[in-house]
Order: sequence, then structure tokens, then C-alpha cells
Amino acid sequence: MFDQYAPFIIGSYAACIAIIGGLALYMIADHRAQKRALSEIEARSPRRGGGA
Amino acid sequence: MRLRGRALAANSGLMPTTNATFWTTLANPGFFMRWSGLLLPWFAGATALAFAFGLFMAFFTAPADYQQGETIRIMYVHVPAAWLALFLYAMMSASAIGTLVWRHPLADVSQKAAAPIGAAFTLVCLITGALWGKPMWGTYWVWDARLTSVLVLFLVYAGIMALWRAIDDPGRAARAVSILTLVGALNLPIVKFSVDWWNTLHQPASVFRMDGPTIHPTMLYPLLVMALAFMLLALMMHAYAMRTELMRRRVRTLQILEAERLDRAAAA
Repeated sequence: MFDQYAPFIIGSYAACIAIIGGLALYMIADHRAQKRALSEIEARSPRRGGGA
Repeated sequence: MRLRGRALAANSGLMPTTNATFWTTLANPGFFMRWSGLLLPWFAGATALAFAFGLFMAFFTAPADYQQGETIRIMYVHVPAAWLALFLYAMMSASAIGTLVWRHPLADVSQKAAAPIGAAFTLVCLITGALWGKPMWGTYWVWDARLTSVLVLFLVYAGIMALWRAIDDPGRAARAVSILTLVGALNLPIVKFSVDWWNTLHQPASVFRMDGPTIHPTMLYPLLVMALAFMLLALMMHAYAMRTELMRRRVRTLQILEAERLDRAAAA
């Protein structure tokens, strides 16, 4: 399909997917970790106006 | 209709109620979290649609170039990545000014969130450029002014990310990073005009030119659609990363409060 340039073209798109996809996966994992940490710490914290 | 829309939005808690508080509310992280949470799924859909359309055009409707042949298809990822590398750095520079001058509460969050995304697009630009260079120039790399200045841009991004990690206090880190970002911004015009100022192997600009694009529309339109798809993806990733950073800061604040509370309880 891409003549003799196929390895370079496929390599370019694969590199793009690997780099941007890798970053996206890392960002999703980081987001989930922060969300989990936030819900854990909020569950431990005393409620505002909760008295005693 | 506009007033009615604003009133409805205000009632829903998504918009400031008066014009006087409009700009201050925009700077509110809570306001950003609510709006970005609503918009992100729409951005994701628009990004997927733009990529589907752009990739179809890039692979099936765009012709091979008369000189470069099929390698022209590398341009549809290389050029948008290069534009975004510069755009995200320019955005970080604007945020750095926002941090240093106005101390805008979201400016340093925006700056921190943009750095890895900008670095990733710069890396994509460098790698795809090298993969295009081998069959066309006969080499993966030359120390040409454009290539070298883009490599410097990548190293500046890496330095900024390292500096964010090196300083614990987010306020101090933001000020130090802002200064580094603004110093690094001097490289942006060098990247852009390197092909005009020096005799480079890299070709001169062919889209953003005073006399209009020199690319044939059959190749220009797929490039523009791919650039739109990349831009939507970058903006979506940026908003998502900002949301994560705001959560990280909230966790840090709550951890400090919790530690203080435990200290007081232990002392009592």
C-alpha cells in the first residue's frame, strides 16, 4: 500500500499512538489514584459542622 | 435568549450570577471542575469524529506527493504535532505570566498540566520527522537549525517537568517554573523562523505564509482536519490533567489539615 516506505509510515503512526496513548493511559491512572486518595481522605475527615 | 440562557445557567450553579463576579468566578477551581466535567465527554466525541474523518482523508483521499511519494502521509501526524508543540508552549508562557503577574489560581495548574502534553507532542514531532528524514534526506538526523531548536524545545519541556517535581511547595514551584518557562519562550521564534533565518535542510513554512499556503488543497484539507483532531485531543488532555492536578492539591491540603489535627490531638 505504501510502496517501500511502509515501515517509515507505519512506524510514524505507531510512535504517535504509543507516545500519546501511553501518556493518556498514565493520565487516566493518575486521575483515578487522586480520586481514590481524595475519597479516602474525605471519608476519614470529620464532617463540617458535625459537632463533638 | 442569551440572558435567558445565562439565567438558567446561573440557577443551575454553573455560572456566576452577576457580571461583577463573572471574571473572579471564572478563576474559581470549583467552577472549572463543574464546567470541564460537563464539556469533556463532548470534547471526546468531537475528537474521535475528527480523527476518524482526518485519518480517512489522510490515507484514502489524499494523493501521494509527486516528489515525496507515500511518505507525505507522515506529514499528517508530524505537522500537527509540531504545531501543538509550539502552541502548548505558548499557552504555558501565557499561564506563566498569569502566575507571576495576576497570581491567577488556575494559571499554574494549567502550566503544570500542559508540560507533559507539550513534551509528548514534541517527541512525536521529532520521531516522525526522523522517520520521514531517513527515506527523503538519507538520514534520521542532522544538526540543522529547525531540528536542533525543536530538540531544545523538548529539553526545555523536560527541564520544566523536572523543576515541578524538584520543589515540594506548589506556590514556590509555580514561580520558579514560570521564570524558566518565560526564558524558554525565547526559543519559540527561533523554532518558527529558523527555516527563514538560516540555510536549513528542513523545508520552509508551507501553510502559515504571508502569500497563502503552497500545499495543494487535496493535501491541505486532510492536514487541517488532522490538525483540528490533534488540537481537540490536546485541549481535552489538558483539561483532564488540570482536573487531576486540582484533585492532587486538594488531597495535599487535606493531608496537611489531617496531620495538624492529629498533632493537636496528640498534644492534648
